[in-house]
Amino acid sequence: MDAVLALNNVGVCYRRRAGIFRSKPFWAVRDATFELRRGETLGIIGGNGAGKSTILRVIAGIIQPDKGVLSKPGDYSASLLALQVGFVPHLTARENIFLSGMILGLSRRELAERFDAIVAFSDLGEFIDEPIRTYSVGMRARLGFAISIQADPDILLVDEVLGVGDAAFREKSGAAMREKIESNKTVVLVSHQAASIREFCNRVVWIERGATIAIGAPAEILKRYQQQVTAKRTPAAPAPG
Amino acid sequence: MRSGVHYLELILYMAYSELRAEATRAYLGFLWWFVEPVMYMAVFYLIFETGLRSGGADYAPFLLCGLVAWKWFASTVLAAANALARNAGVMQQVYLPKLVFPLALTVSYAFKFAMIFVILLFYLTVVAGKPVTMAWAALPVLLLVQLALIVAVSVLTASVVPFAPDLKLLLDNLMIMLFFVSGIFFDIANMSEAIQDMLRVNPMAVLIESYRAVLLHGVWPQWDRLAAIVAVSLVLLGVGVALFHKFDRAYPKLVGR
Repeated sequence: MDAVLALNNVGVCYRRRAGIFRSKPFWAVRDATFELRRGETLGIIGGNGAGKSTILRVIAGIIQPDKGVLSKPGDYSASLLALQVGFVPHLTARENIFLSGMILGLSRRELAERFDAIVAFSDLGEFIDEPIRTYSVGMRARLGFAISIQADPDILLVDEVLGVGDAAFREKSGAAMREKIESNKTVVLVSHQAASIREFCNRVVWIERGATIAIGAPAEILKRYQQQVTAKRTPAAPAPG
Repeated sequence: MRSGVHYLELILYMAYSELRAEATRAYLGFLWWFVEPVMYMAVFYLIFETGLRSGGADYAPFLLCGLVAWKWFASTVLAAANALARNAGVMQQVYLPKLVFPLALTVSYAFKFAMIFVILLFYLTVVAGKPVTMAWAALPVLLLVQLALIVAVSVLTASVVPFAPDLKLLLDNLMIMLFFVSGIFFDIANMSEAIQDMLRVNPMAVLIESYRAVLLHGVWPQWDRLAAIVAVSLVLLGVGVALFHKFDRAYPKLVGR
């Protein structure tokens, strides 16, 4: 299978201010190396602060690596499944659909065409012309998901958002996610939940302290990962990186 | 990567959203776009007309021309300093050319200024009884020159501030200084020659003089000075756009987090 994207010794450095005219470098990602193959669902696991989300941002093209190479043969589009991005509380759901949708890269015309589908999916009914600051958390989550799922990048990057909102909607959004992931789409899935990694992923990359530890089949990597987690937990509380 | 047309659409929709949100936020809604600047101008009017008594018979129109033009410039540039920080959340989740943020802001502020400018024209003609002359034909040019200056300074400001947020404090004070040397409440032409030349290095001083020449005295502005402003603006804009281009994928690391 051919790679649609490859990371080679990728590192990302943040500068933390440490006094006047001084800053301390902090490598959120030190040495990430793996490739993403066409049509696969690749899982990324690792502890808190391991650099998983930063890696997703590099793949999405949001930030540039400070070392190493990110190669994208074929120049496929990659973007995060970003929920409620750019939402303005004082605007109505109708206006937020256009604003958020356009930020996600959909054209105004595409959004107008899909408007009814978005409204139907989000289940907001008559509240569509109310400012979303009056919405409950669940309603906002539904609207956010209904918009985000419309964006259709070649490579979909998902950061722990399998199922949002109340129980009924969680099922609905989970089903929509499942459909995307199980289609031929190339997906990168960051998750803490071993269950969802096991269910969806063809391969798994294990990242710890910003570096690739292992790559392989979900069953094998998850086993090693969980062994390490329990081993760490017994002596003392692990420091979150 | 989306096309330029998409980003233009996005800029306009972001500007519209900003205006809409502002209009629905407060009880008085969009009336604040008028009330706030009128209050601002009233303060200066009271201080200089009745307090300091530095004005002449025609002082109110003179002062207002300066204040309206200044407010457009200052409010946009000060807001541009926060353009990226305000959108930190969006920048962390989606790739967008960061230039859209300051540009959307200049669009919404230009719209708000347009409202005030119409009121100024109404005041000058109906209340202050100024005649509409041939020279008013120069107004669109003046407005475009000021827009060019504002876009350039705003883009440059927005591109630089994320590297050193302290610059915002510097900018606040720089604006206060500029306010006093832009000839808003005094006539630069009354100063000594040497001082005049110095003050006219400031593009806002030249623009304010030009608005007054056209609106109050019915004479054409000095085109060469306006051309110089456009040239300076293009250079500043070039620097700002180059910075945005170079650091487009570094800004998300600098703001927020």
